[in-house]
Amino acid sequence: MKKIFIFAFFLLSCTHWIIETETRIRVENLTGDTISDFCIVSKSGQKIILVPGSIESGKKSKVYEIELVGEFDFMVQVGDDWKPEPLGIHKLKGGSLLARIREGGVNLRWN
Amino acid sequence: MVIILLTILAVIQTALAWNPTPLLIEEQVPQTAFMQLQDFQGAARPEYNAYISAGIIYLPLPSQSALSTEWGIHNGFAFKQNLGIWLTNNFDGKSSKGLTYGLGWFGERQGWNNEDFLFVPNRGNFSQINQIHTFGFTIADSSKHLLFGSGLQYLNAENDTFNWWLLGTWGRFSVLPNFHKNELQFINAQLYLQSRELRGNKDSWQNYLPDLECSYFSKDSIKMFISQNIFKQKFYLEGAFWARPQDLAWAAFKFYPDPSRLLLALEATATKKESDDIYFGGGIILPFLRVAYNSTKDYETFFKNRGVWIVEFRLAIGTAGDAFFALNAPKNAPSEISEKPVRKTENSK
Repeated sequence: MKKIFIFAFFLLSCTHWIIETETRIRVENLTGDTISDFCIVSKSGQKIILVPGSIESGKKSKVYEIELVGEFDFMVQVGDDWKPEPLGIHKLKGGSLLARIREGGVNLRWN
Repeated sequence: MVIILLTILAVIQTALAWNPTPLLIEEQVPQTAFMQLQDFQGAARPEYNAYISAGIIYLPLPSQSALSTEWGIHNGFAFKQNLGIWLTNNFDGKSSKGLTYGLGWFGERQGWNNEDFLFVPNRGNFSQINQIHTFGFTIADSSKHLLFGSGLQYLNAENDTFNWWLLGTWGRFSVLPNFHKNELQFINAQLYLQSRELRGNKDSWQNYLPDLECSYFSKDSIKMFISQNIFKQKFYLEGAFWARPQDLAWAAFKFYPDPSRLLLALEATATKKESDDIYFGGGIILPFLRVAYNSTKDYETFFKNRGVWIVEFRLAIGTAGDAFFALNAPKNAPSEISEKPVRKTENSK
């Protein structure tokens, strides 16, 4: 009986022990240009930067962790003049993510 | 077979996707504050001794109640936890003479959090948690069917608000005005004409009188409620509509196999949403569990919820003397205590 209670208690509130609520992101730049500030944008144009700083062509960024799981609109700045480049809506599933950015979009690879 | 059914359910779920938004969560606060006082009004009657309620709505999957913001869709958990206690100095129902004094606290925590929790939320990015607490003091004379109450209400959403309220109950009539500073927020008046054995009324044709309620928020916002017993205080037709602006709010058909409403309740509801659509739903209420789909209660108390199966762990029991019953019930629950003396047999020692 005690075990059932413990199990019920676990089911009731502790699923975040098995469901990821954080995403660890690393960006790989596969374009010919430098890219910077990998971020998500809101409908009103505000930004939350997920991976700050510039990444040179062919390089990978450091790993950044953010408490964000869901479906968001991504964007990155390209070139020396920081031209905004929308990447479209993608899912963040939680866990480790390698975002490979190439000409014309982003390819998300989960580890 | 089960898999087919589950697939159909999953398809329905997707078709009626519901996402709480920060605005819906914020707008829930005055509504919950109103309903908390309405519950207090029903629970603290002159003839009653105590009331205890508790409830937890917990949706197990983070995709069921994903928050929709201008940033996108955030996986997480919409939740609602409430607790209510009203106790009088006569809570065991043994001293029936003189005045009874009561103290009450009804509290609720509701909102959305990116992680699930039972006690302490982590309050991550985009978490939004409201707190609504009602405190009250009552004084009653059960022989005269009179009760007077007063108290404070604390609302914590975007900012803190304190409201205060008064309660006057005499027999089948009860009125509860609620104020912020000296500004009237609403008056809730109940004229519960149906005769209730629990409140000392006799079983008669008056069992078939309606229960009426009028909630006045402002000149342009008045809500009416009617509950009509249609058979032996077991079948009820209920409806709520806005007198101003004229509009249907919801209608329901309820079945309580036992008039104490404590052991089982089945309800079928039709709720009118803002989009002028009417959604049909229903629920089963057991002493410790409520299962509902598209039900009016969840639309009104849980961020306009629809299209999601709701499982609530709950409890709501009132007492009067040695009787037990649910909120607004007409009769007490069948007691298991036998009044016959136990017959002694020769073998017993």
